[in-house]
Amino acid sequence: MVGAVAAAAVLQGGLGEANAARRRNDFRYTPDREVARVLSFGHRSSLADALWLRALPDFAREFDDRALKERWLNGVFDVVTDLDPTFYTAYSYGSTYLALINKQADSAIALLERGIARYQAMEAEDGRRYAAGTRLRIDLAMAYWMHKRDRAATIRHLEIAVERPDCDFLTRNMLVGLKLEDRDDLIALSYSAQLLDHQNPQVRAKAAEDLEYTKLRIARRVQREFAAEQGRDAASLDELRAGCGLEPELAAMVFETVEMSADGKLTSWRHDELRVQSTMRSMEVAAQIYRRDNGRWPTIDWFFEGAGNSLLVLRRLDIPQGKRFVIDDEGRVSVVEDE
Amino acid sequence: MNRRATAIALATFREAVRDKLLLLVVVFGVGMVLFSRVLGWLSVEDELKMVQDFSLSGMSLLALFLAMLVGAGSLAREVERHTVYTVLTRTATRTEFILGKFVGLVWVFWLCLLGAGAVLALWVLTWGGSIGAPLVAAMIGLLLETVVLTAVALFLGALSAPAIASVGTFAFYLVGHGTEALRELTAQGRSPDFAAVYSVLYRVLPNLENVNFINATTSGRPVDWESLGLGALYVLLWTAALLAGAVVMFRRRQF
Repeated sequence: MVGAVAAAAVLQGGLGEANAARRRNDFRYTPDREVARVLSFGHRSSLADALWLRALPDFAREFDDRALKERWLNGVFDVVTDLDPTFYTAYSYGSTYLALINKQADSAIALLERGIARYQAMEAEDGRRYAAGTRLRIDLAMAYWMHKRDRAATIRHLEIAVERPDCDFLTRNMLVGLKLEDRDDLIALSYSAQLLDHQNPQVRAKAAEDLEYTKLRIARRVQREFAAEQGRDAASLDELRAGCGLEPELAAMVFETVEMSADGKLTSWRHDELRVQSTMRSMEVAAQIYRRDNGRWPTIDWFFEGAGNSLLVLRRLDIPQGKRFVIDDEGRVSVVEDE
Repeated sequence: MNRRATAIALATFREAVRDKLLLLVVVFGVGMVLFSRVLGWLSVEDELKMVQDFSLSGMSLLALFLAMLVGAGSLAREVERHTVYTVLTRTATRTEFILGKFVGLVWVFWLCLLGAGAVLALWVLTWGGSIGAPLVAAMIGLLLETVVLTAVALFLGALSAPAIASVGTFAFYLVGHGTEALRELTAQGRSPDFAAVYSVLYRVLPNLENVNFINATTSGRPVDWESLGLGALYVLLWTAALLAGAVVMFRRRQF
């Protein structure tokens, strides 16, 4: 008996190699989407989940035959998104995998475009917007930006995304940056300005802060251009404004809140003010969470400590000069003169 | 429903509740709901989507198994135990007997499904989800599906042996959930040679997809209550037809 087990153990070494070699191109069968739809017997969403779960471990596998792998990948994404057209993860994760791991940027873009088309059809049918539709549009813009280096397509899709009310500020600011590079200053300013009368006060506050920051970015660009053209820095704000080349109305708007320090650095007092207010709001939210978890309010120093603080770590730079933050017994944060 | 049919329904309810098979099927249904979380863990994200999808599919299978394993053999058990003679030789008619059995079984099956639904609701809330209109619509759809499956099981149970009735109920479930494929097969001008046949079959065959709202629970889409209402009417018409058939078959049976 011992001999037989020992012989089997010896055999297993070679068999294991053979098994591994067989698995290298052992693609699991992925049903055709029409067959899958019929055989789901009404449980389309569950079948999409099951096929997705079955495919997940295979994404990490090595494959020898690239063409076969591409066919398998396309089959998986096709059938899963056909069974459940609202399966956002399949589009998002799928496009990331296709572009980054499998180096198929075109397939990634095609998958995202398919998802967008489905959400557009749903939105037209239901007369409402879906957050996943916005996220897919942003994913598509990023795919064009990162994998195709297609600036025009990125801007085109970002422009569509920012028109949707649930578009995040990070995406808006990316488009603002691209528009500023193209000197479309008024359009760049309009992306924040259009949210100034939003019904949500937090959105209004963030829009006001971003609007001031956009103005400051324009002013700083103008300053760089002035230095490049004149071969020296502008001596004063008035000189910069006079030689900036902006339309007078735009220049008035941009330089309205901008100041120049003694060393020529441009700052915006209004932006600084709004940024401090925004920081204080974030501190109050973090303080509420801290109190819920610890039963007491945090100290101001805690906000500047990296260790043990996974909520909101501030930099000393965030404090206005000559001032400091204080937190009262009800968790309200305010700014007082530094003693 | 008169007093005699109600008494039969109550007796059927009590008998079914005591059935160990029922307990086994319910444990399966609730187990599916709880196990769905494990599948959620396997996913990259979408844990709650997996929980809801697999739980609701599990509950649909729970309804099917209840009809197949408890409903289909219900009439045969009465004959086997001779209780049917006692009931029918008294004042109850065969129509009242079928109606009573149907209502009793539907009560039990609904109780099981609502129990599983309550577990699902708690499970979803436990994992940070919320109970919205789509989940409620899916549950209503499942309850309606249970009604027609119970009617099918009783009809086939009145017509044949319990094993055949079970298989027939299973076939009805598959056909009912596969009928939509007929429409897709001929959509956009495909299969023109069979279009007329498929069109007739599509209308004539039962379509349980009319009350299947389990696929849209996590899509965020609004519930089409009008469709659900029409689906309910459709299911009730099929139920009436099947119950009428069950009564006719049961009347013809010689004991």
